[in-house]
Amino acid sequence: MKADQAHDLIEELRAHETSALRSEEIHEQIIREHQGLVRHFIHVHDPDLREELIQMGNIGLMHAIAKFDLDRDTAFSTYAGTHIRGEISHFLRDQQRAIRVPRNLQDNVRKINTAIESLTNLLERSPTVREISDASGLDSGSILEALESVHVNEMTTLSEPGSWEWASTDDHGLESTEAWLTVAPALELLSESDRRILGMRFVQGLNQTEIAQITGIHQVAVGRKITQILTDLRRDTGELS
Amino acid sequence: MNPTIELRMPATPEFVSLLRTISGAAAARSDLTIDLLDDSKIACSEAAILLINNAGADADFSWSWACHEGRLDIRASVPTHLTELPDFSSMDGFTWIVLSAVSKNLMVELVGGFLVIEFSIFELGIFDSMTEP
Repeated sequence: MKADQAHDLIEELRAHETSALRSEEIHEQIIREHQGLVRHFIHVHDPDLREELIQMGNIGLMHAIAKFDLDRDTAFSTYAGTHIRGEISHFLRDQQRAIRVPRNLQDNVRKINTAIESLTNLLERSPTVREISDASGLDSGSILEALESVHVNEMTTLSEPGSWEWASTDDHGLESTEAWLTVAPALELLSESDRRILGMRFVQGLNQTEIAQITGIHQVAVGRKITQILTDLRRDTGELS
Repeated sequence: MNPTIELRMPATPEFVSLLRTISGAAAARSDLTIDLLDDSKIACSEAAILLINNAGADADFSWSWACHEGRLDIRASVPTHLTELPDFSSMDGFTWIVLSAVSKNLMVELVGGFLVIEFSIFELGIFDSMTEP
């Protein structure tokens, strides 16, 4: 993608009259055309870890799209690189912190993530625990334990404050989203990106798979992110310990 | 076989994580997708917060998860100081919106001094006919 093309697309993205559909197309196009840049920052050979790092890089890319200052004389790719590298580094630091997780549990998480990904592609919906069990050879108890540990240990992985702008200005969900913000002042504590994800899930009624398609984040990461946002929110408001 | 899990515990935030874990296991037993498994946990957390905020002093709440193939029915209740049912959709819009989004057949009622909340988790389309009129 040419340097000024990303600039023009982001300018169009922020234009008041840009439709929700067009906003999604622009996000997808920028993400698609910067995959080379994302991969430039990834120097691991493990295919599972590599896939996770690509997802993290894409989160950084989304942050960059939202925050990029159109008035500054900086190429978008330079600016995006900083965010992508930051998100990947943050993820790797968390991975190192999570090293106390037993090795067999980490192995199970890897197997499960692989099974979820292939089953989701095959079935065009998220799989059940039984289907994951059939595909991975793990029993349902081990799968539940691993899914739970993933939530716990990666709770902070995706918690970098982001600032994705609401992509749409005219979609049917926006009116109720604004009402939602009015009745739930606690949501003001959240970043724009977190509010956007909650809005997509709970106001617009999109499922995790659909949100994953729009944001470019892995479906499993979307689920983790929603859980983390809600948990953090409830802790911030003192409703959960 | 449609097993039902029943549990009683103090209506305090410390027990919400336990509710989430049990709900995840019940959702897996009902053969729900992992998306819906997450939804069941979210719904239980939000329902628990709604009940805790309206529970009498030192109250316990009671929970049950009825596992069906492709559907999980959840019921929870707590002794309450409420004498009439508030409009929860306006009192705590956030909890209500989240609960409405992730659950089906959501119902809250006052029954003999207990605040009761019931909802189901299933994929829309499979049990459409079971939604409220």
